[in-house]
Amino acid sequence: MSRTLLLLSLTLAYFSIQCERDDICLEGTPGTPRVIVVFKDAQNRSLNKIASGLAVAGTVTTTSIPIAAEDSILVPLNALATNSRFEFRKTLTATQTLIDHLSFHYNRFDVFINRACGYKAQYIFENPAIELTESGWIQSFEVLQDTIANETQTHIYLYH
Amino acid sequence: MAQSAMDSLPETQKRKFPLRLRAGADLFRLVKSQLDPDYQGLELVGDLQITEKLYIAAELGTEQRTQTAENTSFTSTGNYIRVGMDLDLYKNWKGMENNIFLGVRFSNSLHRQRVNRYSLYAIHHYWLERQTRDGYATGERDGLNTNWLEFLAGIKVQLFPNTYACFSFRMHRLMGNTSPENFANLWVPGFNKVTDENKFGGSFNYTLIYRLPLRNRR
Repeated sequence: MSRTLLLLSLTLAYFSIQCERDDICLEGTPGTPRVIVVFKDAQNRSLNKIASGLAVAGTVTTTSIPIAAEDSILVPLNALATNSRFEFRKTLTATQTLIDHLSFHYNRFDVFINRACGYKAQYIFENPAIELTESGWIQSFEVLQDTIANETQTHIYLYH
Repeated sequence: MAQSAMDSLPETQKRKFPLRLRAGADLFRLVKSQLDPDYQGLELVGDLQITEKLYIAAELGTEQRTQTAENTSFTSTGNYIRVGMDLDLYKNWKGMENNIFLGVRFSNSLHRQRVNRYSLYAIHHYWLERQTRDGYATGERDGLNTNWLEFLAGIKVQLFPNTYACFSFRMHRLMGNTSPENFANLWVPGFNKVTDENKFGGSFNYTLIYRLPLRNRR
């Protein structure tokens, strides 16, 4: 009788330990941040200026980065490198496009979030943070934040 | 010192409670060590009867486990000790030696956590993403300490003369926990899984114990 009980409780315990709830990373948990780039007017530096006809892509991947707002863009850095180079292509007319190149130089450090989400990357810009090869449309840049830790504040201004 | 204290007990009480020391090992951990390449574990157990219903009980263990929690692969290694009391609730027929018991343990684990590799959590995927295997947050965090209270219920069944099978189911309540740098104690030897949102955990053991052939003192 008690041996049956022993066997039964063993089976029960085995299943209660096997059936663990899956950990799911909660939606809305901030992940690896992207660089927030805001376009400014080169003539009147306090004003945002829409960059129309813009397409941005990494020079290695060539896939375009989605552009949500017309005066800013969120640029993802390559976590497995210490620099990421992007092509900022501005289409003026059907036949005329200007292509500027921006290289970001940075160091990565990883921060543990929790069990379900694991680690995310954060970045610290090197000095100089950006290398700009311009062909006529981006005139200058300004680094506002040295640390890319979140997506709440603007990191870079590009004047055009 | 202890010997002289024992000697002062009345003669009748000494006859009633002979020295009853049992020792054994956890079978589940032994079997799992053989079957699971990511697990190595051993737990030695013992109890000593001090009154008709009370036992002093202890478990000593060592465990190593490698697992992947979502995006992070890590290895937890360490030793633990649990010390406490068992209270027997079962009224045996004459000549039988079965137990149904409740117990409490104070448990302590000294361990280390090694992060083997991980993938970075990103919401927007653009670059080719691979697991990070070296540098940054990988590596060992040692000198970690976790302690907890354990409440257990179990049964001990006599299989053969002097040989018992024991099963216990345990609920853990986390007390103290040193957090590894830039990581967390996701799994602790002796405690098992530590969850983010609560301080409770659970485990069980299934042991085979042997009553040591010690002579009753007269």
